[in-house]
Amino acid sequence: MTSPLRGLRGAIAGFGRMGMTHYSILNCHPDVEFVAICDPSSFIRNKVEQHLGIDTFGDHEEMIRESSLDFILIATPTGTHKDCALEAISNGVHTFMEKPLAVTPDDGATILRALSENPVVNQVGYVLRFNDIFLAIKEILTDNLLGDIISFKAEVRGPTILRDVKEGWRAKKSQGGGCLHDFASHAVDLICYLIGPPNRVSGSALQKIYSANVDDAVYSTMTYKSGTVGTLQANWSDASYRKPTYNLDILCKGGRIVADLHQFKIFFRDEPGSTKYRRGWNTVYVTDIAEPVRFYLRGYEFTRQLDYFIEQIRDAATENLSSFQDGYTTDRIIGMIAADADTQRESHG
Amino acid sequence: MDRVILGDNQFFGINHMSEDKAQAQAERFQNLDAIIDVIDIAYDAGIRGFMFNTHARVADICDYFRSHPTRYADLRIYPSMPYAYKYANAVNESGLIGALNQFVFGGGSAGDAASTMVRGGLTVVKRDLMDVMRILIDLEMKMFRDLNVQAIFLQNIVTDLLLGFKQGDVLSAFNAHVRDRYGVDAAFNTMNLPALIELLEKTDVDNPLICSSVNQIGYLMSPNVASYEETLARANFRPMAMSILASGAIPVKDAVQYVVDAGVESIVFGASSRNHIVDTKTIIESAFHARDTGGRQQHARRASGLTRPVPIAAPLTVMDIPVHSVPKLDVLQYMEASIKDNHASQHICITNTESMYHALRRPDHHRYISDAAFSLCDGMGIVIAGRAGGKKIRRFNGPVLVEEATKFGLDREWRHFFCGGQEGVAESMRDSLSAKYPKMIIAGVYSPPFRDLTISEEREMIEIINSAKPDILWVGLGLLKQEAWITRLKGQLDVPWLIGVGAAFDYHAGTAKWAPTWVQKIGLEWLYRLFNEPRMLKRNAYSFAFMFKAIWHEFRNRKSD
Repeated sequence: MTSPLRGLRGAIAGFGRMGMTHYSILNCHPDVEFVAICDPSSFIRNKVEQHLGIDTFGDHEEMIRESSLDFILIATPTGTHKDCALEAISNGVHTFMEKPLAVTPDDGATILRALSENPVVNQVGYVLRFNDIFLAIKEILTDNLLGDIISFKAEVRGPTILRDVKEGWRAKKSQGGGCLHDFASHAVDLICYLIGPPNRVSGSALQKIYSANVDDAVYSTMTYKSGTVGTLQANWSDASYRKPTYNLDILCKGGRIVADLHQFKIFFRDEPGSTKYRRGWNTVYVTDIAEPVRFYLRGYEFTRQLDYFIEQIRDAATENLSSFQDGYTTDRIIGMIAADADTQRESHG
Repeated sequence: MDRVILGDNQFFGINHMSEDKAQAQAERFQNLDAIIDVIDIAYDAGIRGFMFNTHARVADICDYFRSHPTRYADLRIYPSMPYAYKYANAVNESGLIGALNQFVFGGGSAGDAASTMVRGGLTVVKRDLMDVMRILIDLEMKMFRDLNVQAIFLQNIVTDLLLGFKQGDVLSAFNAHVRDRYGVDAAFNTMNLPALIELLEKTDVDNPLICSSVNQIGYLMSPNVASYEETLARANFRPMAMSILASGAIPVKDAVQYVVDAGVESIVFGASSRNHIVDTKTIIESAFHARDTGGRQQHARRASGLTRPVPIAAPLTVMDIPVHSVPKLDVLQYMEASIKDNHASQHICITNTESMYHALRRPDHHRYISDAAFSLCDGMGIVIAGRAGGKKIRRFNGPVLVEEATKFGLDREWRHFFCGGQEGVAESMRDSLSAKYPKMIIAGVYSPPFRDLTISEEREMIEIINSAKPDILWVGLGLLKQEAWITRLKGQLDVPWLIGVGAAFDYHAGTAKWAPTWVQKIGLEWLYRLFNEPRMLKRNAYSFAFMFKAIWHEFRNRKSD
């Protein structure tokens, strides 16, 4: 059992950009004490020991076994997620997994089985679930203020890859590289979170623009038993954007939502069942609704998701706003899109 | 140091509030000419300080400055580095070490990096991290060569990453290199001012220049506004403010007054139209000027959030809740001074036994009373409880304050705004007061619906009130609700005085009857009102509950003195 009297002992697997971000955010959390970092790069390990003064390991198994951890943040390439997670879960270590959960739904299912035998607090880093705008939209949809969803359009674009990248895991499909897994997964998860997982995907295509080995753009149509239809477009090779940019447009019987990361507009056909909005168009800016966080790095939602994870450990919670089960659902839809894209390509000969 | 500095977010499509606006700006500023036009407007308006990030396009702007040395002879540049997306994208493409190699050995180009490394047999892996940092700083500074650089900022994403890492040493090394190599101040951008100051206090970085978001709604201010206000009051660093408008959520004048009162020394703002640039500059300069020439101490203290403006006499207390027992004229003269002074918004609380009853149970209400410039006594209950404690408390209730402020303000051209009351009540109040005092200036009337306002409606209401430019906003939404309303919106309302006077609306509108003067004199208005409005019974019960408790408390304390 976790004693509330001492800091939670934490570790990070994979000290890349996300690993460093997570470390920085939780290192200054009053309830957390980081005790170990693992990374295959001796350069990174060397610098971590020199500057941060904590133990390092080249290998996650050794780190998990030797560090008596309360929790681990896994921010390694997606291809190694499964092994890391299984090791952590079997040692009773609460696990935060950078998204996506795994490369394939089968790997995800293996993780879920391990979790059912050995339950620990588990969370996937779908950070947009903690974004102020999307939290507000989730509330609107949960309260069913707009009625049945007719259709939606989810788009994400950014200038992440503008030339062929040959090195590193991002260039390898088997390691979880490519726009679908690495970039579009946020949008797929947002769809699952806000609207629910589609029953069927069709007309999918994965497109290479600059990359030789992985996809740079994703297109798919999603259909639901309820009759809802949606489309997804993701492109990480779009030089017209300064940074990754999300656009979500949801049409319902009772109105419409048009959102990006900074604002949303909501239209009510009739008098809304909430005092926060009025009939017709409403514009809500993030400055209207942003809830402050303890520490800010890269966005409110990054801190919010990690503080939430720590809180769930403290509360020994069994539910999670972004659980492995949710991560698995998203992986399953990603798998359906990839399979559909293969079928489409084959039918073209 | 420049007190007014033009920032550059608008030139690069960076807008925290709206991607549409960001997109429109990116389109407008895709040509260098459009950027230079705005810089020229600012320069010709007398702005000399400019903050630039190290986006590749800034190199072109700097080339332009160098090729027009006479035109920009007095230009002072505050570089802010690094432009994070440049590095993030490189890391995505080449991994962390690959990206570092690329920048350190190739000046940012992969081809150059490979050839340099082959020639030198070098890679970043062998380098000391502090060395790598110094090389990167020098690389980023190349674009500013021969220009008049005033201070070099470390971007918040890096400052805050290192802050979370608790790497004060690295911040200190940045400081040392910038001072040694460039002979200027090192400076830091942050979204976590209180924590950064705490970390820097443990290093050798002395009296640092720190740029952070400062605005009254707490946008991009972690952990919260109160801790920022406390930190700003400490004055062991030089504070510079950015995001003062919270991307447009706060009116300029009020935003500027807030940061100047908070003790900030310099303001960075982004704007791209002539009017906006000139107006903002003028407002900032006059606010600083007002602070310099008197009232500085009072402003600084007020803004610290720790103490209230000092009224003429310190308040008395009943059950430790403050009540000001001051002559009516003193209150009015103090109000006049604040209005003339362009003071940031203050509130007056009309305090009776019922509101004291709630203050003992609700910290927010207690704070509202304590934070008020004046907590004025309304009703005999407090007077009696005060007497039990040996304190003589003067009464100055809401309806009387409205009337007195109206009369006092006639020649002074005070602008009154009435907000609230049940439908039509604010309008009747306006009509009856302006019939009685034809010279009275009523800047506006607004009756919000009884339900909560929508987010858009609230923003519109704030705009209506601010554009009417009132000196006093009388709020009549009923006890607790009006106080919560004032607390929440005070930061966004550009009004010197906010006064919650619930019942006064009914009296002046004629929907409640004034008690005869003799009844008022003997302090039995409550009984008169109870007869006329039996619904007051429950509220009177609260008042009596408090009054008897307070009498006992005050009496015991007096005995023990």
